[in-house]
Amino acid sequence: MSSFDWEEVKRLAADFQRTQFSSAAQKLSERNCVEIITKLTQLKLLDVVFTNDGKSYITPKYLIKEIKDELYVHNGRANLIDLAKSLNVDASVITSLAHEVVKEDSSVRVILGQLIDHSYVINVAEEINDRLQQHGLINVSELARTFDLPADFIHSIIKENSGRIIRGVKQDKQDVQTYYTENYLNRYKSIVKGALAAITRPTQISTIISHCGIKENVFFSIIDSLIESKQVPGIVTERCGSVCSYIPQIYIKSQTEWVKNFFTQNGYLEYDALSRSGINDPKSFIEKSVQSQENLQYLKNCAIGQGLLDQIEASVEEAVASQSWINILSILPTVIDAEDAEIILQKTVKGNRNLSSVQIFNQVYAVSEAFLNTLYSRIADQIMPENVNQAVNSGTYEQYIIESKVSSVASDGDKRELSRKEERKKRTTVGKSGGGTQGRETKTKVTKKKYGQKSSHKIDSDEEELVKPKSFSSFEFVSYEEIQNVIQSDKSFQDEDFDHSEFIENLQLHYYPLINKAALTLAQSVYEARQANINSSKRKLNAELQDNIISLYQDFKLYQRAIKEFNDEDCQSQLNKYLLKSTGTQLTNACFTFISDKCEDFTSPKSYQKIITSVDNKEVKDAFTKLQKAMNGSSIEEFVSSVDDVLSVLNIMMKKMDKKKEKALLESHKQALLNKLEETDDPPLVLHLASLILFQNVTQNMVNASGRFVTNILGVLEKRLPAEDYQPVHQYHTLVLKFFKLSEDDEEYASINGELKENTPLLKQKVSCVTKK
Amino acid sequence: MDDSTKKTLSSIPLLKTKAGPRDKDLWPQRLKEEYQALIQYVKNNKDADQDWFRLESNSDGTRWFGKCWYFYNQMKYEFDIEFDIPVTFPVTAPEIALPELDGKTAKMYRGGKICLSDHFKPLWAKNVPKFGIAHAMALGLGPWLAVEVPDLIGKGLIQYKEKSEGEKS
Repeated sequence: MSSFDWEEVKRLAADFQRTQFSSAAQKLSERNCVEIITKLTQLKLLDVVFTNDGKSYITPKYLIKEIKDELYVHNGRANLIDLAKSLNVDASVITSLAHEVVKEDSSVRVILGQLIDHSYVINVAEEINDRLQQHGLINVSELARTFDLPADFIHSIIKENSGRIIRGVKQDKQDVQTYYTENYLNRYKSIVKGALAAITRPTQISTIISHCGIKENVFFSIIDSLIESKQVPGIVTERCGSVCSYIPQIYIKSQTEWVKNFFTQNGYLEYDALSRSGINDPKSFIEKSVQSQENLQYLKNCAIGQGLLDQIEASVEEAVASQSWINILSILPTVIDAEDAEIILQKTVKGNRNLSSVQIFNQVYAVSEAFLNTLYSRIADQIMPENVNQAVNSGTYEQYIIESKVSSVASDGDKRELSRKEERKKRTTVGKSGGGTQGRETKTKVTKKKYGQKSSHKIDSDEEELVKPKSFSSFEFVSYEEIQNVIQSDKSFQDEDFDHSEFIENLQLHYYPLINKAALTLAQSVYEARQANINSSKRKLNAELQDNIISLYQDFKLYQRAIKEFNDEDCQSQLNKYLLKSTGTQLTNACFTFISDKCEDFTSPKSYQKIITSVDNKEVKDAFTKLQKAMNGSSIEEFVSSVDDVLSVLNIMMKKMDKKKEKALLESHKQALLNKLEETDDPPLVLHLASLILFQNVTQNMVNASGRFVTNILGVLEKRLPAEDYQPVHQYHTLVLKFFKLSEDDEEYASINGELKENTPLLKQKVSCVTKK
Repeated sequence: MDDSTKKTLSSIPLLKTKAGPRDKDLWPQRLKEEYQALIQYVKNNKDADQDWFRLESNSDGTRWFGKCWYFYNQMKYEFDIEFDIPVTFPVTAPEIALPELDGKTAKMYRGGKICLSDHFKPLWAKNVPKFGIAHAMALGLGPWLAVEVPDLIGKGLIQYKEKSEGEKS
């Protein structure tokens, strides 16, 4: 058994060895296969593709088939990455194979890493069509988002299939992203057309859009197409951004009509009014709508028609014909301001030869020359002569002439090349001396500035005019106020409501230099006439003075003779002295007055001296020096001789005193004394006068004596008068003397005073009685 | 123990006789069973193209020797095998040794005996007397080689030697 066992063991061991050696190389392991294939692919003997896990190989052909199958399974659209995953192959292999697939089959294409075949494209196209039919409007970018395809591809799909699968599609011209159907477009076209037709006023496009509920780009494309086909009853203003507005034709039409109506009614068109009614460029609008019929005048604020111009011209002509003036603003519509009015006025005046004489004031006042002339003559007649006379008479004119002479001398002395500034300075200083005038001028300057810049040139020239006469005749004869009063008194200024103050002011400015110039010449002549007058009156005065001197001289002589009636020498010399003091002084004064031309009071010897020194002639000087001395001396004879000398020097002829004349003189003297006597009640004066009269009556000589000499005179009278005549006088004299001695406190004062009062009429009676004998 | 090892193991027929070399009567019986198991195992290996060793024994079957090899990077590394059947066999597992690799790795006892994994001994003890030499090869040396050889090659401790003996691939 055991040997048998061992036999079997041996056999088994042999079997084992055999087993071990025999069947070893029978089978290729997987590893070996992989190795072999790797080797083969390396040698490019075999074209296979590994799967990702490396467990299987796939031939490209099979892979292509599989890709196609996958594509079919996925409805014609498969992502390459997904393919790689599902086929368990490297993505790069799939990509390259996909390109091969595309090469093979033209209906398949690769887009954005996706394999898409024709059926899918058709599907997409159908879907697009569905959407389009449903919404009427599709947006490519939206589609691109939903399909996850590039917009370009969708564009190409739409283009390729439009007309076949996608029906009635149109691309938006503004927005290439948008497509819409004809129906859709027509629908909105109708809406827009309706909206536009309904609009009667200019409307913002945005409001129309919001009303219609259309997208802005759609609206614009619609409106563009509508405008192209001329189906819009209006116009769209220039588009800037989305801000523009639609102006319906009906509005334009009514606007034009309104403008035309307004124009035909009023004859003018205001730009503001047009722009208020929504017209942007009024001028061109007017040109378009009205120009064809009318000859329009374009002004700053408005355009006016020929009709209005004619009207103005007629009015101005009428003003000329009626020798008046006219404020054209009153005819023109209120919108036209002064500047425009001036333009119109100037045109009118230039255009018409008859109106060439018209002058324009304040831009708007057309003034006929005739009116200016009448006003001028009125001022010249009413005020000027009077004022000139006044000026000349009051001596202000004379003073002015002297001043102007002085200043002209001064200005001649100055250099001509004075700087303008200095000149102006001088002018102002000269003006200041003029006082009120200058103030007036500055005032007008200020007001003038208000008129605006345009007329500044005119103002300048005005100023020149104003200033120029001033520089050589700054004398004001007629003031602004006076001119103003005259102008305002004119009829034409009273019955209108307008405020003409500026016009009047300008008229004043116009007249002021003219009038004053005329006044200056007038003043010249008046002054000359007056000078002549003065000369003649002076001559007359001279004669009077001469007469006065002569009469004084004669009186003096008569008084001198009367003194001789007094016996008492002492009394004589005193009388002489008094005579020199009174009449002598008067005579001397008269003589001095004669040479000095002036009626002065010679109270002091100094004034005499002054006159003497002022006299050039030496003879006269000597004579007067002598006269002065003689007057201060006491010798009558010396005085008389010196007076004679003076008179001969002054060429005053001394007439010989004849009896008749002497008598008349005495008589008049006596009469004067009597009159004085009648008038007075004062006892001393009564006594004095009575004594003087009686003396003359007795001696036939008139005496010049003061109250002090009453006693002396009575002494002469006592001898010559009959006692009954003398008695009352004497009695009165004693009473007066007594009265003088008494003071008011004394007891007798009242009784004597009463007595004197009683006796006064008696004495007067006596004197008159005596003189009549 | 991985699936493939399990599978391999299960395809090896189990032994019945519990006898060591000292059991004169039963030892040949046991040896027969060993051989049968080995033949089956080698057959299986060859069928799967996973033949990896050659073994033969002395006449009384107490000492075994042969070769084993391992493919790594398409290179064949070959090592000698030798082991004795212990007296207490089959209770004690044979200690397989690879004398060439003695001292080159820590997983080895003196004399080139491989250190078997912790699973091996309990598994063996549990399967006495069902497991035999074939099991020891499949369960012990096979996994050991798969772990240690690439490591040793990586460390450069073993080099590829061109064998004159032609390897059929």
